[in-house]
Amino acid sequence: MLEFAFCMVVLFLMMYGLIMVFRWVGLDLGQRQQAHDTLLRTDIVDSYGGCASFDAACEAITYAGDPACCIQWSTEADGPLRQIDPYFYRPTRMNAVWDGS
Amino acid sequence: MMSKFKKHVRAQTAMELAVFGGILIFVVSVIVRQAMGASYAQNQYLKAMRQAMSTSFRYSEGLLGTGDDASHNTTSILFIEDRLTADSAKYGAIDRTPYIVSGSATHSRNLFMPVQAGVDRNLPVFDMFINGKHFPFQLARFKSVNLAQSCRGFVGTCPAECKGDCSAGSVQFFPPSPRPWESNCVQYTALCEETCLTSGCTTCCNPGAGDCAAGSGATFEARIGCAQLYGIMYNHDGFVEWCDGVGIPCPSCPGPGCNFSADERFDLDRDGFFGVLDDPDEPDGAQRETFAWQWYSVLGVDETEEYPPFVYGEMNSGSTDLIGRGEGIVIESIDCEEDCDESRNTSVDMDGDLKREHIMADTKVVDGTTGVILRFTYVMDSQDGDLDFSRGDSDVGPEPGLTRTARMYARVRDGTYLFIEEDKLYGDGLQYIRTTQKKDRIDLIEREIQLSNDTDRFCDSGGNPTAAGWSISIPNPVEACNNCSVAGNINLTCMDEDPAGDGSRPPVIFVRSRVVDRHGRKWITETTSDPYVEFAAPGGP
Repeated sequence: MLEFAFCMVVLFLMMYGLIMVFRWVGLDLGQRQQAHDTLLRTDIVDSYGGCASFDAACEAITYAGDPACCIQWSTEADGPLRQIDPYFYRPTRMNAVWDGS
Repeated sequence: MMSKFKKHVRAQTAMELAVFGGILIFVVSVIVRQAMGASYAQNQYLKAMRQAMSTSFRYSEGLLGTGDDASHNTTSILFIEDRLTADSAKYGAIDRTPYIVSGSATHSRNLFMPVQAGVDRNLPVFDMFINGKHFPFQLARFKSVNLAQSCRGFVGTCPAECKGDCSAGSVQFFPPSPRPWESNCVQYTALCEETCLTSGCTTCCNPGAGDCAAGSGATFEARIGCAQLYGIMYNHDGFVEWCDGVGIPCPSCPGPGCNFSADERFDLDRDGFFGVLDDPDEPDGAQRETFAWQWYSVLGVDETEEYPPFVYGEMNSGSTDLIGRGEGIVIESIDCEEDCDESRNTSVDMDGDLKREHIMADTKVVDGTTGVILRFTYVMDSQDGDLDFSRGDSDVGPEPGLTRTARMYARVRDGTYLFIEEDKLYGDGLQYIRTTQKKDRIDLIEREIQLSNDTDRFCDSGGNPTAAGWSISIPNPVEACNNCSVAGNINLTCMDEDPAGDGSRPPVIFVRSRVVDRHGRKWITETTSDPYVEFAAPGGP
């Protein structure tokens, strides 16, 4: 009886390990593809490299689009580069034993 | 008997568990290994595509390059990475699997930006990354082409193309180097009065008879030769110049649309032999009606000013008529803003390699006297770059690009690498003892890239790695030139400029990837005083 119980415990541990392996296998492939698709549809700043936001009060005094009224400048990285970053994903940790983080 | 049976039953559970567990662990390991492979492949595929998009975008936006850089309007990237696979070797994973993925993308911001001749940064580039080392290969080269040289005042034996007129007033031309030539290209008529004064013409007019005197009204005519070039006409309704001599008759000469005969058009290798008996691979008869393309005669004549059918030069009082078989070239300036002509016949074969070169705008030099004879131009030649991707079955020489050769080495000490080779050791009637040593880890992976031309971009004429044209962000990937197998160069990416030793084969780059070994461990234990077994045979009595 004791031997049977021991074997069942080991068997459950093996099954748990197998499930975790399946989980990791699916997660890594699926999440990478999902991250890729999501990032491609991420909003960008259309005026990348220029002014992202103007001070309306300032513009009322001068003119619309006056660079002096810009309160937030954007960079080129706020444009399409945000969507097409080649290093967009880090592999899922296997965590077959425990979560090391 | 019963007790024995019970004992056996108790052990059965553990044995089944062991067998089942062993199988399970094997299955899990296979799944992990396959999953890692699939993960690497997916990661490489997405990274290559994104890297291509990112690179094209950065160059077009001026974030990379010089700001007006057309080299990566269309970006093609090839990734080759030798990744460790999941393994249970004694000293960690040592097996590596090459993952080869390509990606390409086009950012259209500068797609139609005119490319200036001679600016190499505008040449198309193919980016190859081998284990992180970047090889930007140019796929074309700018080069100058001399099409016609004036016979005027030629010193030496007057070339036959000058038709006996090498005087100081000659309006004839001859080819600077052996090349196809159309001897009756244009007809030139000029007033002796002006030509005599400006060019000192003595053979065309008769000064003694007063032809050169002011108001004489005497003229002379000359038929002038020019370079014979080859364009391509496609079998499509949009190309009305297409003819096959079967269903669509070719225009007769002289007359409107005068060009090559049907046989000449389908002489694909341009060896002068027509028909299936002489050239079995060339289309003949009804085959021509469905063939995709044919040669089309283009003459080295500038027709940008007026087109078609005739061109009238405005130099002096002379006039020039196009009389040869073929069309001239129309190439408008990139600065033209009004009344611009549509460019025509700007992609022609000028160097006889059966492939077309692209004529660069604003580089043409037209003869000043006739006003039409094209003497010189710059072209972009897609066959003269580092790699010629236009290579076809009829081309000779080694296939450019990555060869099938890949070698692996294990490092022993500086300058000494062991060549790792696995092959059959049986079947040749000899006996071998196969020995395996602990040092079986791959430290160096070597690949070969066969280039199409020696462009001096990687190694200069002195046999040293070229520094010009490279930067800190994109350094010259070639670390050594020639003598690639000597101890000092064996672990370096090296270019052999003359791999055949007789100049018959274009350069080869040996790409040496020094694989970073993060899994190696080294223990040093002092064992001098340890007892040891002496295996030497004892001495005799």
